[in-house]
Amino acid sequence: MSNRLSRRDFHRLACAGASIPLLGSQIGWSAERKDAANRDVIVVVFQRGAMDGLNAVIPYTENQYYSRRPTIAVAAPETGAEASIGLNEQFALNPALAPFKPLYDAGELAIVHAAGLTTPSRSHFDAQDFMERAWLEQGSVFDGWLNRYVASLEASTATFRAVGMGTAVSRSLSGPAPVVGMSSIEDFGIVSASQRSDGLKGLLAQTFDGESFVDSTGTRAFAAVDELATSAAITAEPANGAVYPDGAFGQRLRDLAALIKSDLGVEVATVDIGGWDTHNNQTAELNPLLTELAEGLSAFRTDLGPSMARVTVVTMTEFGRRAYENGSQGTDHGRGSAMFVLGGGVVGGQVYADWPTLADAALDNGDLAVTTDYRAVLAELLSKRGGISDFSSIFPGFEGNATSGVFV
Amino acid sequence: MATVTRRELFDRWFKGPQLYSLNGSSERVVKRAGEKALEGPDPLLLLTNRASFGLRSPEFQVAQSLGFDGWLEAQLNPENIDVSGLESALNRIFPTLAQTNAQLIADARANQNSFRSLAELRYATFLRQFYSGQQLYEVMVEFWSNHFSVEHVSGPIRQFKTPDDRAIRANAMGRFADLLNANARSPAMLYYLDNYVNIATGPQENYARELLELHTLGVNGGYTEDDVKDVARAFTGWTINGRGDYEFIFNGLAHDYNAKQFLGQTLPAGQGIEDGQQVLDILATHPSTAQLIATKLVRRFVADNPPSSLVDAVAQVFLATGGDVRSMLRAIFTSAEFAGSGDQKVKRPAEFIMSAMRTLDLQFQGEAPIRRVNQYLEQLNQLPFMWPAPNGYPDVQGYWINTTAWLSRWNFAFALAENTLAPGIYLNPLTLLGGANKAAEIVDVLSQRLLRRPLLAEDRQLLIEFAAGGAPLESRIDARTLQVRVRELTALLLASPYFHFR
Repeated sequence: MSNRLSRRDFHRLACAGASIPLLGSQIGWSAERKDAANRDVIVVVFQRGAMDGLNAVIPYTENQYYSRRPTIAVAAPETGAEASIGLNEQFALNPALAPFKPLYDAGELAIVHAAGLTTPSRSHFDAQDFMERAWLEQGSVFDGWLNRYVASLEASTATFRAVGMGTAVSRSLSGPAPVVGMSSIEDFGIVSASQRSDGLKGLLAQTFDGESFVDSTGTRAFAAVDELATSAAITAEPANGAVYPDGAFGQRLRDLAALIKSDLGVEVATVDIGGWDTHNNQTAELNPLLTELAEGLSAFRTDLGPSMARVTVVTMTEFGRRAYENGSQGTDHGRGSAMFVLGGGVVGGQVYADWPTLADAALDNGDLAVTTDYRAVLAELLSKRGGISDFSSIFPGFEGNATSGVFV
Repeated sequence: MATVTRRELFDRWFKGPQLYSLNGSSERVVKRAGEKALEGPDPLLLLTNRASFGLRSPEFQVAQSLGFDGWLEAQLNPENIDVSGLESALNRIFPTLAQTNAQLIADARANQNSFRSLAELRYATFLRQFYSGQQLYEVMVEFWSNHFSVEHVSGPIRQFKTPDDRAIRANAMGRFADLLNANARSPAMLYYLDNYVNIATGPQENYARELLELHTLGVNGGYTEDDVKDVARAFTGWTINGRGDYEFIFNGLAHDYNAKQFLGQTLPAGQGIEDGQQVLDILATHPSTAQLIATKLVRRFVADNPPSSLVDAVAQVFLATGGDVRSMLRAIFTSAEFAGSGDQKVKRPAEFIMSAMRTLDLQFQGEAPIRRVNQYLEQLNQLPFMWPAPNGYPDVQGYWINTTAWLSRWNFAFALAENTLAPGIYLNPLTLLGGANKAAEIVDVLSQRLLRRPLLAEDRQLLIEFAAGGAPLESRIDARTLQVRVRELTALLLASPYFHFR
């Protein structure tokens, strides 16, 4: 970027004792930033471990749901204290997802059921990887679909355009297009007690002046710290009385909301929530996670207020779980699961499903079949919200259409 | 765009469970670009960096006197390296290290403190990595702990992990079959992957699937969904004796005695514990297992994208030696691929933290430094035994390196050099210097001391100017300023890219 101080110039200044912000970001990009601050935002939440879609969004009218899950099935709506919450004539929410109900009723939340990978894999690690890279059998595609989406956008100087919340950046967002990884706003800085700390940091930045992944990520860390420090006031204090759940997921959503509300120009972000691999004593493990998910996203929506109109959240998980429960009140690895879609541009208040049923003949090797390719949902999202019309680079080999109807 | 077959893709990127790799590029660009190309580390430096948590100064001097082969053989035979002082101290400070599952469970109940054994094992792990002279052995303990990953957090795993760790330590330099057999009977693993509730009337697949996918054959190792189901049935009844000693027990009442098929072989009807044993025996000598273990070892010690020539060679060693760990390590470290792999591996967080403190030859006083290490590794997401999935911590830079990780690493380097890390860990800057007192001298002495290799000429010049602080380059720096300069340059070198390759 030619209008910035070169690192070499900066270093000379710093060594000469001048006290200036790191890497000279004071030189004008505020106009671009204002523009970037109004762009649409896509947030992808990955539920690692494979969420049991059948116990999250319950097909309560199907006898097979109850016969295949004698001890862990969630009761039909209005049948007692632990009953599910009815959504329509076919599906109901696990009561642990209660915070989603008002969002569904307000038309802000949609559910896509029996969704997933069209390529069968019951390995967590393969399936996550296939999904996040949107990889197909033919083609040399190694980076994540969201990274390719970022790469396809118009150039931007916003360092925070793509943010992976957490200690590591999700695979879907990893790739050549620049990404900021952030665990928390609070810890995002460089602390030095040295009297010459500015000069020291400038010199350190100089040592990252190469072209490797190590160099580019290090350089971006300096730029990000600097940009965060000079952005409009960022407060981790949620707005509108939003209360996030305890734990890393809530904290990361809260910090992400703060970034989105500032003028940093976030356009893409990822947040992970793990622990969904419920082989044993499932209800005790699954329900608190469902609540954390729903409380977190509900708080995020409240916190963002009117800004939510330009923010769309979509959840993903690598697969669902077997239609039958196993011998330890849990479920083994399955196929189709559910996606939650929330926010701007979502035609909510509906469960979208080409429902395969749980009849014997309809099961895929004992599991809820996948009837909606997860890429169809994401493609429509990118089409309607991101203005993408050609998916050949983002979802190579995807031949479905991008008209799931979930988005306007 | 060239078309690549599915098989080739797997060969290049996905062999084994650790799927993250460097973004996009098929060549890792690790050297700084173009005219600034850095000369690679010499063979001994490469070996000592890869096969340790960073050598202390006296250790490196010993390595220099032993030479490449001598040091390698010494490290491959840890039983000849005396760590009895360290071990007896650890056992004195941390009594749970030696306890049985029954004792651990009883003590946790009696004291209503189920976290004691967790903290003691974690701290002992830090201290062994930090103090032990058996450095390659500790690296292998970490490797196998990760291969047989158990999340050290829930329920009785806080207790069961302690004997599980002892079993890994007993076999870390031994034979793969022994590691596998011990692990299949480890209450920690039986609990973590739910096999303790795997019963004939409702088999569950968690352990069976990960046994095949992660511990042995690998996801493309040639098994089917039907194999997973039958292996799950083979291990029905492999459980924990919850009413007695909390050790492994085969419960025949919960076992499925029907015949099973696995990889085309029949597990005949009527077998009991023999079913699972037959599966383990098949797996321990299977070529796919050899390939998986070789891939992971080569990824650990050579490159994020393991060169297939070396993987194949190491897999052959596995098959020829019955999975002998020392033989495989020797094959790796003496290979041409290893020799040519300088600057191709980035330190993971634990390696960075430990090597920074070890290279400075620091000691711990009291518990505060250990707590601080714990805190940093929590922030950097690599506490021992805490990866939240059964595939273990990734071993490629694409996972570990990002903006937030750099900030944590830099803050650690600054705090360590500035003596603000914790009470009980103290850097005396002048001990690093010898008699150096001019800008160029101190830069050269410190880079040799901390990096053990020269800086790029351009970086060296920048550091010299910084060290001079505006004074003439040739002037002598007074003792008080010298202390400040050493701290600044130490922080800088530990934070710079140089120190993060291994």
